[in-house]
Amino acid sequence: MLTASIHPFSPSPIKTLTKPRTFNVKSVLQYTRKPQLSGETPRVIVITSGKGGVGKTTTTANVGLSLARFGFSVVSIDADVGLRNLDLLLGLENRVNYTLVDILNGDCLLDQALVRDKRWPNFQLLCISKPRSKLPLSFASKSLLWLVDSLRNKSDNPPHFILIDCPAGIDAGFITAIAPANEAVLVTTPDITSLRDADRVTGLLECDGIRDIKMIVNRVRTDMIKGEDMMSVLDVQEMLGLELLGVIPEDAEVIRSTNRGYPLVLNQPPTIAGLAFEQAAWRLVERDSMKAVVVEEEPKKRGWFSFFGG
Amino acid sequence: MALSVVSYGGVTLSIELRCRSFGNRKLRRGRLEFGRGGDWPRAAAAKASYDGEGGHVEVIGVGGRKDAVLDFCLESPYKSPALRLWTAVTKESTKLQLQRRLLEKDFVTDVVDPPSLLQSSPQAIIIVATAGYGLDQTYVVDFLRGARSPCTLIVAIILKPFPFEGQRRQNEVKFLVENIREYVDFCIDIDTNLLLKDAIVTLDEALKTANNAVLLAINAVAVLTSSEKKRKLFNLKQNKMNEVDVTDVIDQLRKYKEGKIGFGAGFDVKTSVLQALSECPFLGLGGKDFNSTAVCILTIFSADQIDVNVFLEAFREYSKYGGEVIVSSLHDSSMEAGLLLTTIITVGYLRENPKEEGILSRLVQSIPSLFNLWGKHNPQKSPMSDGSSPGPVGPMDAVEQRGMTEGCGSYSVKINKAGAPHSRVPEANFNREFNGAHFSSYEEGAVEFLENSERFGLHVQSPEGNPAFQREQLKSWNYGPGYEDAQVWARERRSESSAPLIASLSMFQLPVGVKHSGEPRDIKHNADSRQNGMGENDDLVKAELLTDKSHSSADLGLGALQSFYNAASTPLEDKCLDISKKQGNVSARAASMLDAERNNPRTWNPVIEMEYRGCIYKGRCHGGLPEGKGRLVLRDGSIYDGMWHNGKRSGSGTYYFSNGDVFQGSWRDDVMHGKGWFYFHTGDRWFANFWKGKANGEGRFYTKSGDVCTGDFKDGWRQGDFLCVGVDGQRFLETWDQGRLVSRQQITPTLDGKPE
Repeated sequence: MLTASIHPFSPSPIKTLTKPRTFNVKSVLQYTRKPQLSGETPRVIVITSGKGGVGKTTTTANVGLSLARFGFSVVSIDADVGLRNLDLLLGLENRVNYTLVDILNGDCLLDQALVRDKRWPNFQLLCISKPRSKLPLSFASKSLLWLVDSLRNKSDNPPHFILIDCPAGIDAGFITAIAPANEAVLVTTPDITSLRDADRVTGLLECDGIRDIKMIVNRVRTDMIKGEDMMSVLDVQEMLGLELLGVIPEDAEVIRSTNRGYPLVLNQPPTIAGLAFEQAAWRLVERDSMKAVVVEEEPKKRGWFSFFGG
Repeated sequence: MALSVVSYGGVTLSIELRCRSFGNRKLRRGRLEFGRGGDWPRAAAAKASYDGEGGHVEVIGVGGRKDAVLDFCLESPYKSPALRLWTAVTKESTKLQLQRRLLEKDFVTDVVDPPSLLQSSPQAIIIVATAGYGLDQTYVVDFLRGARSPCTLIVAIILKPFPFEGQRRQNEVKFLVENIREYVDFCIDIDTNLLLKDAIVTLDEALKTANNAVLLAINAVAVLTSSEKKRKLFNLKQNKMNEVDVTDVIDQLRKYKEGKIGFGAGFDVKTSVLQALSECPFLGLGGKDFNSTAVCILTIFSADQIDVNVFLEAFREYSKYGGEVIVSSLHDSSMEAGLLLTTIITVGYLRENPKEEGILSRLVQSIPSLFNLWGKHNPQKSPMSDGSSPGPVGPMDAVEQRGMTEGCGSYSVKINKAGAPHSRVPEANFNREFNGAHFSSYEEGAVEFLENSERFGLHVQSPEGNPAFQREQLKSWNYGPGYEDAQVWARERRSESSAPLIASLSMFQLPVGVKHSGEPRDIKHNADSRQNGMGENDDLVKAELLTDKSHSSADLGLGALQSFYNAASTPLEDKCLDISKKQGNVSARAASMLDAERNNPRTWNPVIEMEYRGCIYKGRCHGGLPEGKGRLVLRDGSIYDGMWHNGKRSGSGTYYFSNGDVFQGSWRDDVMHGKGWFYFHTGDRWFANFWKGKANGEGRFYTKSGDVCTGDFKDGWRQGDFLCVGVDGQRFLETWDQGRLVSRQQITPTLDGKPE
């Protein structure tokens, strides 16, 4: 029924995709080597947290771009159907013409819906739906499974990584988002609220059969940890019992880069949070994990502090 | 006069001015009052002798517990008359004021400013600091800064808060101590935490002991600094003695800055000294490491003149201390005749020996009697004390030993006598007697005790008995009012258990629910049998209940206590607590939140084997009490195997009576409750509905031969109509009234099936 005339673009592959991939590492840190890709591609990773505002989308954007800079081809899917933001973080909001809904409706091809980052062409963004559009009732976990399947089976240039930015909460959107994933990156902050949600989400992920869960502790403030006003990363890790992928310090640059639509990892000079994200991405590639250590306690200060907290 | 109106802005200044100009006169609520002669008339009357000499010991209380401590000191008969007690008040102004505390409640309290206090040139100023200072502390520091003078000894008695009072208070105390240290000549730490190391001490007792320590410390300082008292400095090594005067003492104290206190009371020298050395936890040396102290200050209060040398010998004997001792004694005729109060202040530590101290002091605290023995026998071995000590300090002869233990004995007898079922551990009793000053009840106590022991035939030890045993008893004395009953009970049981077990001792007797005309009320399933507690198993049940009521481990001694604590401490070895130790509240809170959130696979309590109710329990425990599935093997061979809750049989369980009967059914609160099957060793079976241990409602009884009886039970008795069907088909209709057969008639079915 549908003819090619419906499609606004020709179905022929876009030229850039046919280019041989370059595996030059162009990360901020000029590593002498490329991270060793572990596991079979594409690796479908859901980035989730349960609680909102802990930095899922930031993590997706930065880890995704870092992966792209390591030379892998990455598709990030913004599965936050109603409140998508990933495009904003990446500065791609004006280029999202087609979404998954359009694909499912047959309005476009998969490749057309993938928004390619101009800076890092092996990074592609896919949104589920337009922000203002009504949610399709039929949208269910199946559709994401299909999407991931078709990405996997793409004849040309199948992605190494599919990152799914999960919406906050643990309702339908969450179930949808985690359905295709094989591994999960749990973003949490050292807050008690975030911890509770993270714990709950861990249980749900495990129920769903996702065993490979790693954790990124975001917005860590060492000064507060030293003052014992914040849980240490070690504590968080022990409590959640997850492998630690990275520890991201609180950084004002994050807000700046978000508002500019320019991901942190691309910043020059590198920011401390950006470096941390990049390292996390490196570990993600190698399926490595880091070890949290106790912040070494300083000798007790005399005076004000010993009076209150000693 | 013009200053009677205090302007807002100039509060501090104007008050100070006034104080300068009017000196010792009284300030009450910002108003000057004259006409009392510039002194405190009533208080002056109470201590006229001291006023004449002009020397006061000003005691200033700060912190949350100051009122309690000072009131305690006030009410004590042993208060040195030189004391004037003040509490720091910062109510109305931003300036520290001192409020006089007097015993008479109606007496209008005096409020003065600190500087005026100094004008009377007190012989010593004692700051009694407790936790919770609020604003006091800064003012106190200010005050102390001004109070320094060469002839006034400033002593701080720091009453450390209990650890459970929170970190803030601990920090407050730390802060205060740090701040006042440089202004204070001498600091006596009273570590209340040590009191609670002994688990049997209640908080109230601990507080009393701490208060006593404060009072005696104050007294000791008063005596030490009073001008006319004789103080003697002994060097035990060189056996030299010379007199020292106040300034020397103050110099000594200033040199060392810190001290610890121990105190004891007794009617003979040894008891008193020993108590001060070993029973008082504040000393923290366990009597062992006295040689690490630089100077010991021995203050003795007694009614009559005593020979200081005797005291010294005793002290040297028990403490093995060979350094310098400052001895001062106070003869106070108002004290009980013969009573000796010893206060020991150890000053300065030359070396720390924490390991040894820890073990020893713990040992001493837990088994002081052992220490007594140790202290008694060791001097025999040491040749030095043999050689140098004349008279009683030589090798111990039997008489002395007797005397010594008599001391202990009378001491503990008093405890027993105190007869009130709420009497506590010895320290507490000591406190009480000490406060109330009725030591005279000793003798009656002994008499009554003997009477008691005769009556019960229980406490076979005479007061002269082994002190270790006495102590053991005293410890268990704490276990509440039910304990005595439990003891009596256990005794009766013990005597009964020696009798051969017979079948009739089982809990239920066949035929079930039937009163035997010949047997009186001691049948097993008598409604009252539980209350009367005649039968073996009922006894057991009751004994269990009683012990349970008092304390699950009351009568089981150290072993049970250990297992109790082992069990109690197992859940503590949790991750979340490790974390809380490692870090502050934040992590602990998070961890506990997560633990509550996670629906983990149920964590089972560990299966442990322990002594419970005098029997062996094996099963799951929580908090030292059986919880969950477990098995209790009773002494007579009965076994309960089933569910427990809170240390009681609860849920479904099986009870194997020692005579071979088995009950299988549900339990609640340690008694059969709900439906259950009773299997008698005779082969009969009984299904009944139990209510609080007694059969109630419908029940069926099947004999081995096949007869069936069915009918209602009430309180364990057959009640109402019973239908009995014999194995041969004969049917009887029985009517029962509370277990007694009223009528029995055979039902012969007619042809149409209706009974006649």
